[in-house]
Amino acid sequence: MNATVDITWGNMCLGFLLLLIPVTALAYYRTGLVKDTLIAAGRMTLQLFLIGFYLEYLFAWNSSWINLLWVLIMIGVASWTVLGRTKLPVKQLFIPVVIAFFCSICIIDLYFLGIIIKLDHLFEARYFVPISGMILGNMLSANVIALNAFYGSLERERQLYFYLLANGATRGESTAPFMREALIKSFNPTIASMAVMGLVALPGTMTGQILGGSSPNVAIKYQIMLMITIFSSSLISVLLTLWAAKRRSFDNFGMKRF
Amino acid sequence: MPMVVFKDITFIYDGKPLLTDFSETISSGEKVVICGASGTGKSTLLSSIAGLVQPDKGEIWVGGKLLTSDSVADIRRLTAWVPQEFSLPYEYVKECMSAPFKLRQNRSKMPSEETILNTFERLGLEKEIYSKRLTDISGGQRQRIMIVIAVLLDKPLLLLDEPTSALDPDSIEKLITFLKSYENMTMIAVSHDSRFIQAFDRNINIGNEK
Repeated sequence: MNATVDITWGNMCLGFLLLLIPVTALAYYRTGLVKDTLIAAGRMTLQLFLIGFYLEYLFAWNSSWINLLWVLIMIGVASWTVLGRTKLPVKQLFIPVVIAFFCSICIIDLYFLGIIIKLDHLFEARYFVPISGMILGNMLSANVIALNAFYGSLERERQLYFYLLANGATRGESTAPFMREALIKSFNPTIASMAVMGLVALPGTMTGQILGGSSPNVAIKYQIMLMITIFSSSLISVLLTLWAAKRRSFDNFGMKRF
Repeated sequence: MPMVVFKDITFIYDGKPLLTDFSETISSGEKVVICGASGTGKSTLLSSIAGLVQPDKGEIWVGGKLLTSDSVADIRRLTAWVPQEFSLPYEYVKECMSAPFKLRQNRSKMPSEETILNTFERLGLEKEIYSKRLTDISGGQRQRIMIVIAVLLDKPLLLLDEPTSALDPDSIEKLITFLKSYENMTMIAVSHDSRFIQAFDRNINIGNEK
């Protein structure tokens, strides 16, 4: 296999020019998302350069404790970001979301790295850190959509919630329509993209691995397993987050606290 | 035996008292209308019976139990509530009719299609409505469907918020006859309708309106 072609700094700048199109469209329709987009693109660039630099050391040290600590930091940042994007109270929900993310990551990492890939050292930096990162990134977007859909529909259809409660529904039954909406909104796009993968979309991991010199056969197996893992982990995390958030969100009468 | 007891309850809304030191007893089987001017707290009072709003002061007793966070689930097993101008978010009337009976608490009460259609008839609803889309029927028909559901849930305490707001005079008469036929069911309704107020056993006026 040939070595991956490097991108020059000049061409990186040229690549950034592509952002002009979405930014112009977002500004034209007064979405209020221009500033967020620019900040997000800036953060992404800076963070990726830093993580690239940091990963060099992380891989060289390959210490289980440091790797675990790094993933815990990622979980903290992801939880914070989820609550920031959903405008839900950080004080009440940060711990439940962190716990939900942590449990999901534990279950999935143990399963994927321990059983599927059968790593000798579960916390091996080259696998543990990037795979946890990829899973967390997907969990983050699934949770943002799910929490927004859950609390949004609960607010919009407050009468339905009260109706169910006052007609004998349990706590679980009275929030079930909103859970359903959260799951549909959050996972419909993933299901759609999974269905056309390979036809319409060539996924990032596979492309990355092939560009990095792996054989397409290995890259495809990783991609398939990762898709299943990402989907399952996102769903587990959404269920756990919603469950944990619900416990904090309602008082003993079933009334919303915030 | 009292079904609902309000003991010196006060609701404060936006820093101002909405209802102050209100006390009232509603007996089992009694049919009571809460009336009064707009904004006097009628719907708040009705919702408080099912624990959907908590008074800032005072006690509410339902079915012999003090309404607290521990007893609220038991109390909600006794109530059927029809909110004002509300219908369940389903496509077909049939789905809407069956949804509340799928709740664990209500599963044993699931009525047969024959019972539903007979009840429809008593309220002046054509049988064909049962197979229609909710969007294809009128607001008055939807309102009566929600009342049919509540009655068929067969709970001892029926809470109705403005049950006649979308009904014509003929339908109101039919509704009154229908509701009064359930002699053992305690009914508490919020209403402005004079026929409804007169037809029920008594009214509780919490505003200036008589």
